[in-house]
Amino acid sequence: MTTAETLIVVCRFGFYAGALFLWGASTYIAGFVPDGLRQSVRAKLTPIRGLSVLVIAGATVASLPLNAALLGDGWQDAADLGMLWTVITQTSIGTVWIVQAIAAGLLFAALTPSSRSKILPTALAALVALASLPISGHAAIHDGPLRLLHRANDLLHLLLGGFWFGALLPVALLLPALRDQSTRHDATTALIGFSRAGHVAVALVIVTGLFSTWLIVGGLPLNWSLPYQLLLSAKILIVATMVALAIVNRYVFVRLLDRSPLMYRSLVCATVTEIGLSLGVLALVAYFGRLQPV
Amino acid sequence: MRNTLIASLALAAFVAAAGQAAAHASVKSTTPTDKASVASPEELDLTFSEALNLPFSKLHLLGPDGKEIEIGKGVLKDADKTLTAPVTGPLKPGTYTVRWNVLSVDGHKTNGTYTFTVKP
Ligand SMILES: [Cu+2]
Repeated sequence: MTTAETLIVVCRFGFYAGALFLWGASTYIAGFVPDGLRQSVRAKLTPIRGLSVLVIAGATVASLPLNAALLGDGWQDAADLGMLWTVITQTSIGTVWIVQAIAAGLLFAALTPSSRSKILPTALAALVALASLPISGHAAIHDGPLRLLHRANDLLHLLLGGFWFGALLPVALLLPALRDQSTRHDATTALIGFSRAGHVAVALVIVTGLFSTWLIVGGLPLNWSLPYQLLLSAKILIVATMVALAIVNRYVFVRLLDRSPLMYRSLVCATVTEIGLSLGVLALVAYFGRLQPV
Repeated sequence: MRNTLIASLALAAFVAAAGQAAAHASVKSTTPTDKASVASPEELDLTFSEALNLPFSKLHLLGPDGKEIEIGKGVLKDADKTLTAPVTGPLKPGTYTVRWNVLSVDGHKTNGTYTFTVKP
């Protein structure tokens, strides 16, 4: 990989992680965390929320010259205004970039004092950021209704996967509230909500992921001589591990929570591991999404 | 609601299975055709599996001696899937190579070559 290609992958990873986190954390907090705990969880998440917005903005700003360098004749084109304008106005990469730039603007607007305390502006801006992704990439390769179907499928995959990924950090921050009598009830409500919605989200993440694989690869990604299919298989393996861990979390650690303090530590540990594994998934997609799939 | 969604996705997967797995732009057909013997062509036509972005999609024609021959500016047609460039003058008999370098809607660059022969 050239330097520009490596940096593009880094930008993609940052954009995915930031947008999926903001989307998932805000929808989870708005939908499932009771009023009594909402403010304290949001306050704990404030630094990482600001960091996510900065990463998204940085990745968006950097990706334009990087793409210009890759599409044109190298680094001199990264600073060529005419070239940047051509990329913005005449390529699908540019269309994606325009939507991402709008999303970054909306995310900053959501941080201003008047809207900072509301959840909806951030959730909507993150939705715009995620909706930019299926505009290009392998969701765009079909004709007619299949193209719309593939794009809708991929957006659904992002929204549901993002809910799962983005809720993990607020969930991890809610776990200590289980041990405090005054917050125990609300924390339990919030965690049951995560569990219920999580079952549906994970099931649909798998269905939409398989459907997308089917459309791009034409079957299961078993031709491991192609890096794309090898890394997609690795991604599926990591997701399978995450699902297994989530099941152990829900049906072993949570059930035995009252009997042993060890279960509480296992629960925290498993949730943090899930976050680490999801970041691995995002890094894989950031890289192999640009490779030749078949 | 959830079952309906799963069922419709499964149905869509079944419908799609009839189609080809695609990804990254590939050449579907060309005029002149690959390895064909033809009279001097007036234009080169390459039809791809997906739509292209013109500013970063180029055709190059190489003569029997391997030197590049100037051709006209490329344009897109057929919902941006076909890249066409006029050949400026009659080509002498011999084997010619077309080199293509394209950017497609998936945001990815691909390239390749094919040859055709101009009959005496
Ligand atoms: Cu591609």
